[in-house]
Amino acid sequence: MSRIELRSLSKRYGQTLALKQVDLTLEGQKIVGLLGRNGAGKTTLLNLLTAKLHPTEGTIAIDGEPVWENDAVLGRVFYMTEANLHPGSLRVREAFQWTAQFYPGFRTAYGEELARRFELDTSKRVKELSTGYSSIFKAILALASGASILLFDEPVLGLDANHREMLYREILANYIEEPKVVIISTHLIDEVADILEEVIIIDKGRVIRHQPVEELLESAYAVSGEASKVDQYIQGRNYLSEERLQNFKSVIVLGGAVDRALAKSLGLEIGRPELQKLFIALTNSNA
Amino acid sequence: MARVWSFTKYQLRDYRTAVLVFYLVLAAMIALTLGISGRMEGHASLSGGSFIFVFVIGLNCFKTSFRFAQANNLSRRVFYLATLLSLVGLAVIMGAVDVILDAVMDRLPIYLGLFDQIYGKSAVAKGLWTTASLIFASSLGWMITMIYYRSNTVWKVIVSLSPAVVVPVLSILNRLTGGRLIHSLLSFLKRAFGFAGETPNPYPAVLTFLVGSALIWAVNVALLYRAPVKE
Repeated sequence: MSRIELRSLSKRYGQTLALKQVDLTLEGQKIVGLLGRNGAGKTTLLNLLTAKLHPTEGTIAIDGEPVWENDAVLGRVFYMTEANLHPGSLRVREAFQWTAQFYPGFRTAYGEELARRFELDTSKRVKELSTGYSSIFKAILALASGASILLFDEPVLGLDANHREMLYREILANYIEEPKVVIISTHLIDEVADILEEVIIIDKGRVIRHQPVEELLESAYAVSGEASKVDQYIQGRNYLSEERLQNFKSVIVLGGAVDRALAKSLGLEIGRPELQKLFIALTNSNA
Repeated sequence: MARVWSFTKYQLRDYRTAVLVFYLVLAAMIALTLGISGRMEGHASLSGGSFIFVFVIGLNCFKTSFRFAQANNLSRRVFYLATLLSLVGLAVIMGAVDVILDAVMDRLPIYLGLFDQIYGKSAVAKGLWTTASLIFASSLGWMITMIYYRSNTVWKVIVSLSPAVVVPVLSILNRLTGGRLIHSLLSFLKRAFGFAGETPNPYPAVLTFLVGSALIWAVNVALLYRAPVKE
């Protein structure tokens, strides 16, 4: 069981406040989506969680222990960074060997099996890998690391559709086989939505939502139909966004009970919003 | 501690190829020295090359390794200790190799090693002096590369220009002190490197190199404190 606690966490880069007073508690083993627009503070948050950066303010603890300069804690976390931090001259198989030195739970055979399935040539040097294969290489290291907390920053960067699908399935299989905390930061929300249990949405350095995906999706609904009828329905209601195509309109309504009778009388359809659309709506309106 | 040893091994493995190339070049130079032996007057020495080589190793021991340490979620403390151990380890190994090479080359009438030229012949003192000087050189290189890593563009320019400023500043200060500054400095260096007595003594120099290295390591702790990962 892992417990990650962030208290009043802020990070400033010069004049820019990248994270503002973030309070967050993650408990138990689950797959969490870390969602946010470009520059929202996702990577900063992951870098702080793994002591790659020092916070300007606030504390970070894992299982009650501070993260900063704490190898006992850091050794339980594997962070697949978006940037490539491995030396370019290192061969993939050498990287497996070295990772096993730093993560005693590293499963070399599993790593090699994943490399075979993803057709990653382990004799290649890191600098010879394409963007997609570089992502696969780092994701394999994370999956095989044996760490109890896995952090993925844009794990499918440069991957084709087949490999993306394979990777999502592998993350899920890995989690089922050995439950752990998995945090995935990504922009491809629709693709990853099916494997997420919980979601953290960051906007302009603040956590605006942290709740189970189901709960988040149930907190809103989509109303669609003839534009004038939709306008009639949303009067006095808190709506986040609207999409219009000629006379057709779709709106995401936040909170409140669905008035099915009214919707039926107006000939409108009520549906469950997609996570990506809800995310866009939330981060556009900052509701 | 396991992570420190593992990363020390990684660092030493990283230096391996460069060290092998260095000694291959040195072997070629030894062959050349053997070739010209007897056809020239005076003395030849192979010393000094190791000092420059480990200084360059120090210059290259930080950025890539630090990023790799961060890729494996190692703390800065582990990185620091492992880098220090690897540089000291390298200095001890190269110091031993250099003393052995010196002993072999010493059989040639043309050859007189740097240490022998300065302090006279003493195998133990030579081993200590060589190792201590290599520790100092590698530590200095490590510190310089970290200063550049932590500096922004303005500070990089200031740091780069600082050696050029030292001489005129010293000259001005020396005039202001009526020549006492340079006199005191030279007197200190003489004592620090064992030239204060009638015969040169290498042990103060060993101590000076080690104290200098320890001071550099203290500075390096400060430089590594909260060091971020740079793209």
